[in-house]
Amino acid sequence: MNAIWKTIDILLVLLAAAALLLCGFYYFQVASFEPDAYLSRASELTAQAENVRAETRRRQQEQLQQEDVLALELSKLGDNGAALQQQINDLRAENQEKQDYLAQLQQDTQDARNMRQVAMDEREAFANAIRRLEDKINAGETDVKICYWTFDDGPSYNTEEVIDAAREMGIFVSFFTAREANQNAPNDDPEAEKQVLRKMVMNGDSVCNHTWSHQYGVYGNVYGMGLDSFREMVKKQGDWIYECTGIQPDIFRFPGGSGWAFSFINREETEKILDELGYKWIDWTCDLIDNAIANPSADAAYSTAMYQIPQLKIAMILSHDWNYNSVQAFKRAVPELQARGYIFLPLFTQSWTFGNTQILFP
Amino acid sequence: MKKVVLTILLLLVAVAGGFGTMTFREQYSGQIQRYQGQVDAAQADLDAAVADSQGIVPSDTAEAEARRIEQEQLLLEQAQGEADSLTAEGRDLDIAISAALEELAAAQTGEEYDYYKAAYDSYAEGRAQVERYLEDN
Repeated sequence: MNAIWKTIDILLVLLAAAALLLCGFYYFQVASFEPDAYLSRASELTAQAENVRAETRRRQQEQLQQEDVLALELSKLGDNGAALQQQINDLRAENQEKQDYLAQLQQDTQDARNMRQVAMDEREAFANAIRRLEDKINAGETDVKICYWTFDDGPSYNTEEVIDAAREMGIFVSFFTAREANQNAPNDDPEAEKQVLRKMVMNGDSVCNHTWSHQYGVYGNVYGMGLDSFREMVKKQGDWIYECTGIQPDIFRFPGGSGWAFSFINREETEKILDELGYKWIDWTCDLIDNAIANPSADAAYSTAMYQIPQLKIAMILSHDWNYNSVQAFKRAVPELQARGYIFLPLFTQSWTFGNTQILFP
Repeated sequence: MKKVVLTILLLLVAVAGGFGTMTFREQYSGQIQRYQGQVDAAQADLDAAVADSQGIVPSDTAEAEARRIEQEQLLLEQAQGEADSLTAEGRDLDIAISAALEELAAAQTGEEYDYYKAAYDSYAEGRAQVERYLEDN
């Protein structure tokens, strides 16, 4: 029994000693632990790294400076270098010019292939510019005045003379064409009439619809035979203009004027038809009174124009080019009206005049 | 009796020693590792800086002169190459311009082109006239 206790004692003594030794070991380890030493070592290493980097930067800078020296301009490399530099500069400039020219040629080719659209875009821009000018005139912001000189019932034998005269005077006019109007001479030859209509377009003049037949009497097929007949006469002339010119007309004038037309046909229904066919209609403000019955002399027609037009800042005069007296009056009146501040423009649907035109004369 | 008391005391000392040892380990080993981590990171930073500095050579006048001459030669060769390339580019552009002129001439022929071109010119002339009035007044 004693031997057992002795053994236990010895083991316990050894265990206690070991525990105390371990306690002592850790105690001394903790006692000697100095965080500052670690921090100091880390700072030292960081400083060394910074020094190395600073030195690296310095050397890099030095190397760059050397490269700057080496990166000489060609022009400084003697005559050969200077000549080469000049040659390169010249070639670059030449090639740039060629590239610009090529780009322009390509654009011109593109435009040429789309010439119809290019022309229509320009027509739209022209019409919008005219509208802005009208607004300016109405606001009293300019002294310029506009005259829309319109010729009804053509083409006639005199139409080309009117187109040429307008071109010569630098002005634009509008034609309300009717394929089968009585005084419509070129209609004997459709091809001849087509060329006249195309000439109007080529000169920037407006080609408008005045019905196919122009039979505006009581029993005529424009007003006297019902709205279906009216529609047919408008559509047929529109199709003809489009066939000849490639441009769909969108301005219509009633033969005899709207007052005469609406005494036969219902206004609301008529306007609905015109709207469906894509037209805006318009009358006139001034009248040369050059119909077959009145048939004024050239002097009288001229006097009428010079009396009526100057009374309006935006005038629209009705005339007929089948009456040669009217053509003469037109050629005489235009320069004088130009001297009074009028410019002569073609009629487009953008114009302020639509819905604002009343027949003032006579 | 004495032996029993002594045994218990020794047992208590052993248990206390073991407990104290474990407490010390837990408390301080983490701290030591964190500080050692900082030292290791700083060492890695230093190693990276040293690695970056490799390849940077100190300046040397003779070497710089040699490099300058070499660079000049290279520059002249490059410039000649550039001039040759631009000349070739110019020739290609001449060919392209000739072809474009032919294409343009082809596109600018025909009755329809003449017709719409004339209309375009007239509209443009009219618009210019109107815009002059818009600007002047």
